Amino acid sequence: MSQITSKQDAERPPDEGAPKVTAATRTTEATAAAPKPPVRKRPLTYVFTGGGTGGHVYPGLAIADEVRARDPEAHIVYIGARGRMEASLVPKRGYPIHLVYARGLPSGRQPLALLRFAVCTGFGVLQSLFHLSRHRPRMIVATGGYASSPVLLAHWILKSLRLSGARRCFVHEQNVVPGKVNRLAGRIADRIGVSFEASLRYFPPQKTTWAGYPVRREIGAVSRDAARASQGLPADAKVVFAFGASSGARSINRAVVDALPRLLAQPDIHVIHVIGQTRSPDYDAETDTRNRLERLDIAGEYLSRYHQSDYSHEIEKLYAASDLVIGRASAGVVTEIGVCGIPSILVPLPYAPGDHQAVNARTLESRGAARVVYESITAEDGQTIGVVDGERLARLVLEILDDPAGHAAMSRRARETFDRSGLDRIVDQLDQMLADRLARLDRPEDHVSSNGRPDDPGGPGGPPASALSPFALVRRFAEGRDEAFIESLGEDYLKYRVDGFLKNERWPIRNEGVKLAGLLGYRDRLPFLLALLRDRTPAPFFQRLLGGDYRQVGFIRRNAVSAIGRLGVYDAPVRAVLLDLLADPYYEVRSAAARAFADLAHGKETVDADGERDAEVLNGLRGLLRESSFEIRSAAIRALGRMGDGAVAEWLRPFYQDPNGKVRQAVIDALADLVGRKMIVDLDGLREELDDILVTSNHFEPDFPIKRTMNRLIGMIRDQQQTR
Amino acid sequence: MIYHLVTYLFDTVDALSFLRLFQYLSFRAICAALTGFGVTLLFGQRIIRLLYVNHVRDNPRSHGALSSASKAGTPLMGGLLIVAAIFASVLLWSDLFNRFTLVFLCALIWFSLFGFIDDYRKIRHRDSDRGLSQATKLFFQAVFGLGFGLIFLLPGLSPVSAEIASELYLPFVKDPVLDLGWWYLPFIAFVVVAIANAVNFADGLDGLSIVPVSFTVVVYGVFAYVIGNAIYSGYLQFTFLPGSGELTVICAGVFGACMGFLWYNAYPAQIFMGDVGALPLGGIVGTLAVLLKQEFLFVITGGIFVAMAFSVLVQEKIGIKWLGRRIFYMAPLHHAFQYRGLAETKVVIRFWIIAGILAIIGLSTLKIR
Repeated sequence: MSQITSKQDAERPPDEGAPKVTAATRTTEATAAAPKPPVRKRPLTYVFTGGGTGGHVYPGLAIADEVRARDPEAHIVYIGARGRMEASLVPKRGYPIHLVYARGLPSGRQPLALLRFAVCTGFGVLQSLFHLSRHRPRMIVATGGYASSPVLLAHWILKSLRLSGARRCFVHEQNVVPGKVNRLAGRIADRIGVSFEASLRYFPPQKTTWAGYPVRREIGAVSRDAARASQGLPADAKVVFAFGASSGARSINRAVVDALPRLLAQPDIHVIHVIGQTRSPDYDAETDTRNRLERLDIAGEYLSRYHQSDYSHEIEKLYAASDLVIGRASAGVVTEIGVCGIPSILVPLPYAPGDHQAVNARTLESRGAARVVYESITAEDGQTIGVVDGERLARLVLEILDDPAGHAAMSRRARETFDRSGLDRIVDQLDQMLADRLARLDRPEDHVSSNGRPDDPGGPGGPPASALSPFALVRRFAEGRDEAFIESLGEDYLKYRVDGFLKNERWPIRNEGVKLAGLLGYRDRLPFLLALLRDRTPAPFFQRLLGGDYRQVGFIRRNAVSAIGRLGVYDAPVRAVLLDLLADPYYEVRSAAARAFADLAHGKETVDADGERDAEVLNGLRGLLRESSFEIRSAAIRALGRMGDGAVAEWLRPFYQDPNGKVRQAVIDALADLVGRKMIVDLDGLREELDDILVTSNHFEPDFPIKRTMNRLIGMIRDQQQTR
Repeated sequence: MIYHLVTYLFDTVDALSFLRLFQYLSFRAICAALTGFGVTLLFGQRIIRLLYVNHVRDNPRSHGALSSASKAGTPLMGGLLIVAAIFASVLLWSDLFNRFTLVFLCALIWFSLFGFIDDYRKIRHRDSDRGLSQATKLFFQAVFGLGFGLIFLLPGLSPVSAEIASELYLPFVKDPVLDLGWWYLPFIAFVVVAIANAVNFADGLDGLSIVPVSFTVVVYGVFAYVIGNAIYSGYLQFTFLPGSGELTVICAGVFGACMGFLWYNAYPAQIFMGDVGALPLGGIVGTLAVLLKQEFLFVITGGIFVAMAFSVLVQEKIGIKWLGRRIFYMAPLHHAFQYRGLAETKVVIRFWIIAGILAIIGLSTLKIR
């Protein structure tokens, strides 16, 4: 305990949030902390931190409440990020809060954003240093989220300078796969409590323990009738409660609104919809939802059973009042509704760290406690956004509500899956730490049940996570759809994975997503593939210097074109996009587009309304014949043979002596195609012309007759084995 | 060993003074070449059979149809044959107390060893991706490069005199252009790693790497003869490196072994050299380039290898990994030619022709300086 600290203590201006302790008592505590056992006359100070989103704030508040319930004297201070959830939530619970600067680590390498992050966090650390030295807490409880990073860093600085005294730091991880901040916190903290066994492996074993999720006391404490009365809902209604995360979810909000006409058509269904407070330039929850509602063709009296709000501070009452919850699958939500025993429809947040929401949701689904609806993606104004089909959501809701026995079973299984002892365990842990018993932890062997989760997203009994990487999936499906594998995984989930790849920031992943969409024949992703191909956002400057062109790099465009070729849909938008791509800056795209035309647009589809050949496409392909790349020339020639009429043969004549043998081969293929489709009238003339085609070649295929005979022998043996 | 035996004999027995012939580099070089060639030819068939029987094969596949158009199943690790032949000829015909010889043997052993490990892993796992990783290979190469550089620059150990050890020579230029001092150490490591890898990339088609390697070795052999000879080096204005003439014998032995291997490796190949061949060949060419202080000569003589390495780097690192597009049709270069519709034989022979022309240009730097 240094002079600096004491000086700051002395100068501390009295404010209402701070503890009513004099500077004198604090100094005693400071000296007492060192050699002899501390005599605790003054209340213990706890600093709670964590936030950014509600998912990190609520567990902190739950722990804080329990700490206060056990020790009413305890002094609790919250340090959170400026302008985030905690700024409004924490004061409402009656805890003083200090707001510091904090910012999430930007994804990708954007130098400006990184700089802003560094400056912001640096400033936040300074602020936290000040707050920590001022309050001198005995315990720091961090619940993750970027809001906790400045505090943890400040604590780490004080600790390495040996200024933190007997201060302890406890970190709680809510999710199966820890976030960035908590992974780092694992090194700083004295103890880490995890909610799922599966996350033990992310932290140093000697200080990590399974604790469970701290469910607030209020959750499940309200009776259904009281809750309904307080919300003005009839006691016999069927209540559906839908909400995104604390910050709201566009996909859920829109799907719920879309589902309203079907849901409210049933006279006893009430819908509570908490839309969240998102007001970013991309998505404004309130206006977006209002606009969508207005577009809806729905009777006015129906809407009296639709209760919308932008945020609720009494979520426990809403839980208690509802028969079905539609929500994200974060650890918090899943545990809370599980404890309350409410059946749910979960919409996992795609690509949360480690895809933990999908893991949560699938685990619950496999236990029969919930149903999962995955987001799919669509491109809107050049952005990739998640969507949920409202029709499907409505059908699922009605299915669950109309089956009382099934509903009861889901409810029971939800309750069986979760327990609520997490909170007690965590606060016991805190007490133990304060009593200075930081014994080395044994690996907990006895908590196998309860919230222990399999850590592979394939779900229990499913394939391991490594088989679900984009590259592994592409390898698996390269030979065709592996139906048994798709069955074991669930087509919905597979589609959702593919969508996740498609919206990934890193192009190599996106590229695999594009390949998968084609390999698996996902026709409903066609609009998205077309949008990718239309996306002409330039690549970063340095890439362009060396030959890069667009953000959707050459491989993605090439593979998207090939995927479209596989999907086998040839309509006006496809035609327009492919036509554009005949002039793409990357050579493989141009040849792939020509091949796609050949694959898709032969036969009657190429005939336009007047029964004429599609002259625009043919001329586009003809333009490619002037290319220097033999690959493009061959592809264009083959496509012309596939799509053209007799006049096309004329265009091929200059290539009869092309220096590249593959081009000449393509010419012969194309002529064969034309003859096969009976497009050539003057067969005699053509026969004569064929003598002009140069048929010497630089290429030949080797042939090892010995291997052929060997194969015959092997085949004979196999036949005899089978008949035997 | 024959060299040492004969030297002992004619020193002691006057009647055997005609054996003085064996002192001549040119005579020993010819003998070394014949030995290298003879050993490979003699043991080739047997080794091929032995490797095949022991399932040391390319793309080994236990069941399923054989493709009559593919070479899958060809025995691998033919490099063992090359290495053994080089060993035999060097042990028989060169001065084993010469420091140049010793450094050369170290390079040969080191690169053969980890080349062998690489191939062995591939065969044991029956998967050509399960060999040593690129990073591990680079590490082994770099360790050798640094060790070699250290020996080269330490006056007590170096085969060349301390004044010129760290000087940099360029083709077409008489005098050293730069004294790098201890910076020569990383330079040596870089040269060895770069050349070893470049030769490794070229090993993709039947006979594609073995002939350019032998051309390169011949050119370095001629340089060794000139540089190791006080009169010739004075006449052609090279810095005389006493003792380096011994490398002529070694180069001849390598050439002989390469020709013997080509006997079996010519299209369609009966045996592939594998990494146990490609790595030591690359390693020893790199070592020769440094020992003779003619590192930049490789850019001319080994132009084929440089072009291939360059194409691979540009295609993989810049194109495929970063930009998300191809820059060449394919890499290394020989596959690009195949892709354009050239048969394998055509590609290989054209590369030989280019390698030959480059070798001649390389030799011309003897006089044009």
